[in-house]
Amino acid sequence: MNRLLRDPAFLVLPLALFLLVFYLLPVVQMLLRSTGADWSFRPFVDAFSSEVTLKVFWLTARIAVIVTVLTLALAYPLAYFIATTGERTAMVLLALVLVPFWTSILIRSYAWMVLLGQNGVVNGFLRWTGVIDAPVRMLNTTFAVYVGMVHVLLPFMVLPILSSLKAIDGRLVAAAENLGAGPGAVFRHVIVPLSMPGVLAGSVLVFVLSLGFYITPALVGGPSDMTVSMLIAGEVDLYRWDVASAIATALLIVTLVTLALFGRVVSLERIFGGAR
Amino acid sequence: MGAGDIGTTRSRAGSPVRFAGVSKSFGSFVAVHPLVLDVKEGEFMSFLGPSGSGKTTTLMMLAGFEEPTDGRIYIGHQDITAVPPARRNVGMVFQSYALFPHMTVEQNIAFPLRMRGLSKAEQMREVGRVLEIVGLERFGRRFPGQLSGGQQQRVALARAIVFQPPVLLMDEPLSALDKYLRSHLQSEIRRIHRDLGITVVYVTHDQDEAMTMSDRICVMRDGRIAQVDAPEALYSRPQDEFVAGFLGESNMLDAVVAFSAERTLQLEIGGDRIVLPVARQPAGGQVRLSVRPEHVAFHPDPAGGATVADVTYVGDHRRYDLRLADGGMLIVKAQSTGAEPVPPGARVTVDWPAAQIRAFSEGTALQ
Ligand SMILES: Nc1ncnc2c1ncn2[C@@H]1O[C@H](COP(=O)(O)OP(=O)(O)OP(=O)(O)O)[C@@H](O)[C@H]1O
Ligand SMILES: [Mg+2]
Repeated sequence: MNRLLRDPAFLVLPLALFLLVFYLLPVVQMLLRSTGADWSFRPFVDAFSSEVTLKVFWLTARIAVIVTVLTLALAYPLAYFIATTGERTAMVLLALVLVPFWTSILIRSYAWMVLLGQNGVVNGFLRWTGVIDAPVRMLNTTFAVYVGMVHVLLPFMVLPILSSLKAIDGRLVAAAENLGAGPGAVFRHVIVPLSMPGVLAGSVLVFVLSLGFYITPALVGGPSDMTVSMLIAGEVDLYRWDVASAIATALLIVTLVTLALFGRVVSLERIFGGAR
Repeated sequence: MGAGDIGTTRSRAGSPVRFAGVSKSFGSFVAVHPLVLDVKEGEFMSFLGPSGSGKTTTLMMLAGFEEPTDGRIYIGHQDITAVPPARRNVGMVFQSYALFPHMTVEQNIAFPLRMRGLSKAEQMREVGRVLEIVGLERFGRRFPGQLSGGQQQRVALARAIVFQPPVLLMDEPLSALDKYLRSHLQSEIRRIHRDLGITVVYVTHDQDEAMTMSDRICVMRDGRIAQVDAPEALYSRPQDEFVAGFLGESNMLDAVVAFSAERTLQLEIGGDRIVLPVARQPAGGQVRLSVRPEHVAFHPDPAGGATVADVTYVGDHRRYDLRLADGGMLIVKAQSTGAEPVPPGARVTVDWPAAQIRAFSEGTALQ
């Protein structure tokens, strides 16, 4: 017992068991299923011989890229403002970012349905201000997918960027100013490069999460906004477990490859991480 | 100002710096009281003082990172009080180095040149020049994280001088380094100062460092200047009781005025009488004396008023703790060569070196 206590590894045992039973085993089962009988990889052939599958993969990747870019564009200025403003304002803004985070995705997606519908708040407001005469179709469009997903994913981008901005040593900013850098140059040459680890971490998170999105596009997207997860769900509905497994495996591979590629870039930070 | 081996075309003399009644308050707390100080061009001026005495605050006002509450600061003939840090053109070496971790050594040093719009070729030439000055020619491609503390400090120095600022500021630049590296870099900084003819304002709380490096030292205490003087003058003629005690080791003794006339003051310390050539003081009044341990002597004397309390052998000298007749303690450093040590318990008579004793009344020197 004494020995055990000295090595805290046993503390993670319950979690390891849990993951083994409820996560690892199903994944292995899924992988095995997707290979088909006698390693024929038949389910893959079935899945990817259909144009739809390829198209959905392409659509999903495109949504993920666009959502990542949009989220980054919105999150960076916000994180920068939170990092530089007074403590009280920062707290309030951070709370505003986090509160939706604690609400279920399903509820948030329903909320967007209410907001973006034909008689929703947004259309009502636009008509009241006279910007438009007739309601604009916003719900069940790709636009709605972007809005909903960006909203859901914003905290995953804001938090890593904020933490890397806060980690920047204020003396580096002072040093840059002393060496002749104005506010713009300080931002471009010091703030932006040093917050890159946060930008990359946030982007990976958002991109990978976007790849697996299901509820939001299903609820607020249009008929053509099909994601891989929806495709998998459709196959499961048809009891085509093997094809569903094959598509899921392909999605897993795409995700892992993305992570590996980003991992390469992020590890660069190790080199200059030691200077502080 | 000598160009030295740096190349005559690049040499540019340092600029004088003037603090004209500069003060700084944080809320109701006054960190720096109105400060009047002239640093001459090409001078190496150190700010020395205990923690919290306002050294960093003063330096930060010169660099532009703290705004003076009152007063003006001049570099050369220009009033820079309202000039933003980026346009002050002063080099600064931060205590923490403050190197950009995402840039190589070369990029770090080229940064101020890039900000001044120099071409790539000019940047590389200047970077090569200062890398040579600080002896880091082979390290240009490394990142700061791949350098030792001493090397990082040299990069910080190179970056601060590469744009040939007329004034170089350093805030305890060597305090994070070990003793050996420290003395090595001290002489390197002195050499660079000599070669470039640049004005240096140097902050330290290490008195040996201030003594060996500076042309003049500005001793600070509680946000005020206690004394500004050359190291030797500061050591031998402190104007202030605090300076006497702060710089080097000093015996501080209380004495009573026995008799006083024009420029003669007869004092009583520990049963002895001494005469100092200082201004008249009220008889019976109290005077504080400071005397360096190496300036006092004594001789064995069975009728002497003092006793040896302790002897310590310290290599080239012996250190005696004497107990005076009035119970006060006196430290004496005596050459250890030849003579036999005087044993503890022996009675001795102190030979007071009147010429080397400084007398203070209410903290201020009487001489
Ligand atoms: N931003 C600030 N707000 C309030 N007080 C401050 C601030 N900066 C400095 N002070 C105070 O001003 C005084 C002088 O500080 P300063 O940093 O100049 O001291 P220093 O001489 O550099 O000391 P050290 O040797 O410890 O570095 C200190 O009492 C400090 O607490
Ligand atoms: Mg300081």
